[in-house]
Amino acid sequence: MISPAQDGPAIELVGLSKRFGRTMAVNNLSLTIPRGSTFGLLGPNGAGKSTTIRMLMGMLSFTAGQARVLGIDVVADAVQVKQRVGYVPEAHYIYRWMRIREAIGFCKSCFYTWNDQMCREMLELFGLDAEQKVKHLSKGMLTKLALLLAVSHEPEVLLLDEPLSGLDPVAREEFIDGVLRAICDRGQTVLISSHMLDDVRRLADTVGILYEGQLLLHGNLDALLTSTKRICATLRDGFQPKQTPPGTVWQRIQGREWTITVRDFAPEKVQQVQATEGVEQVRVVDLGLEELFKDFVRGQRVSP
Amino acid sequence: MKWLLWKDYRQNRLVVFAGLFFLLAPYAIGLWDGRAMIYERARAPEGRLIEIFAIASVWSLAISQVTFALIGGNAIAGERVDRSAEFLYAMPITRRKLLASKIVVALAIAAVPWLIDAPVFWYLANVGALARGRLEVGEIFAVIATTGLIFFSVAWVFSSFIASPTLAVCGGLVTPLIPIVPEQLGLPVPFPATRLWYCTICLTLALVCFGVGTWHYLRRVEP
Repeated sequence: MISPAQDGPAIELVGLSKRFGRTMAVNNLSLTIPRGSTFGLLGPNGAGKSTTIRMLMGMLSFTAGQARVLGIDVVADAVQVKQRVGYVPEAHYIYRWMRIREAIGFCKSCFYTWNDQMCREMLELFGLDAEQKVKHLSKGMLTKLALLLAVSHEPEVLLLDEPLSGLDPVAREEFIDGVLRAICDRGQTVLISSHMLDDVRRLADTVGILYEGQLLLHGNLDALLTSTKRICATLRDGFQPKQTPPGTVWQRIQGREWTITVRDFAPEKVQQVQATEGVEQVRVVDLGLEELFKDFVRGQRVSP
Repeated sequence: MKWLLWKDYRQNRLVVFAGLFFLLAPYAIGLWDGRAMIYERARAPEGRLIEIFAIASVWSLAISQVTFALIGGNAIAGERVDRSAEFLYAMPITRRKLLASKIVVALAIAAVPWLIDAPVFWYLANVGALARGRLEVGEIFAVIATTGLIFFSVAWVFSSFIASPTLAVCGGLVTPLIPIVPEQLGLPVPFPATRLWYCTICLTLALVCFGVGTWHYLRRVEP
């Protein structure tokens, strides 16, 4: 049993699993996200990101495990969780026949708290016309409306499932700087799943990489970027290295170029590569979030 | 709750329009049929006009029950098929509240033909040459009411389990034929084909279907 606590983590998953037929969408996922942090959930398509978020919202049953949001069991009290969480799904299914004003009124009636001023400001920021019908909105405008509805009740936790995918670069910038930044700075917890790694990099302080329903990596973003490095070695003609340093995440040999991505980087690992037979030159390259993500996923794809 | 009721009414607006058509069409046909008698009352056989409107009212009440199937079928599956249920279930509203709103709106829509047609038929069936026994009128009402109930309940249970309002409505509309078909085809039936039997079977089935549909709706985690 996970113990309920008022000042405990914002999100706590223990052995969470979800099976769809023969496919294990989420497999024994355990994760703790502290209050006030911004967590970037990364993963390729079908990794289980949306499934995890839907389970956190109490909109999908579990096969096994437990999930708590703000100390509340999502199975026992999904309504209370939804009351305190803002959710932006990947696809938006707001009633098409509603006007924006009606959608706002409907949502406002559902929540205990609602910040009218913030709602008005966001309407203005996003250039949304309250009298416009939802069915006449473009994908980007619909995304803006979904974001507005998710944040106007001032949730303590914000779950964003690919929230920025439909937005043009200007709107994305405005949303990140104008809204998300403010939310993150106010101490609200944000879980953001996105393919746009640059955006995640700008917002998240912690990231997790999900692959085939399992958490490959989880930790402070800066620490991960510091501790994960790429070692590039030049090989002599015809040489094939037989050993990789410990903590190798992914490696590739292309012609004479041997590229190794290692976690828990230490100078000894460079020395080990240098000492490998057939290695001529070695250099260390820092990784960005995108390379780190790609290398971890590639590493999983090639490993048996 | 006010917004929820409004949402459920608005979600069923097309059904309401269909219901109005079912409600008024028989009267329109009755008016068309009796137009000459209305203009020249002397030429009308005694009680003919009353009979026309009595028949119109009973037809109006009977076909208005189709609206019940439309409401039942659309209630849950309608929001599932256009996926607006995904939006609705992200809101902090209990299933019981959602259910209560759907039932209140369904009852309100279903009550309209009963509030209009039943008194008209009751009155016309008890005046002049048309005068019929109260028992017969009561039996007609019972058959129509139980048919409406089974339309709704079967459509409701389908709606609770599947994502197709069309299939749910069809299921609701077809089910009341099941007790009738064997007898119509001359097949042996395990019960006498009386109105009482029909009503008993329909009522029992309606209660079971409504119970199962509601239970599943309340238990289901997914939209």
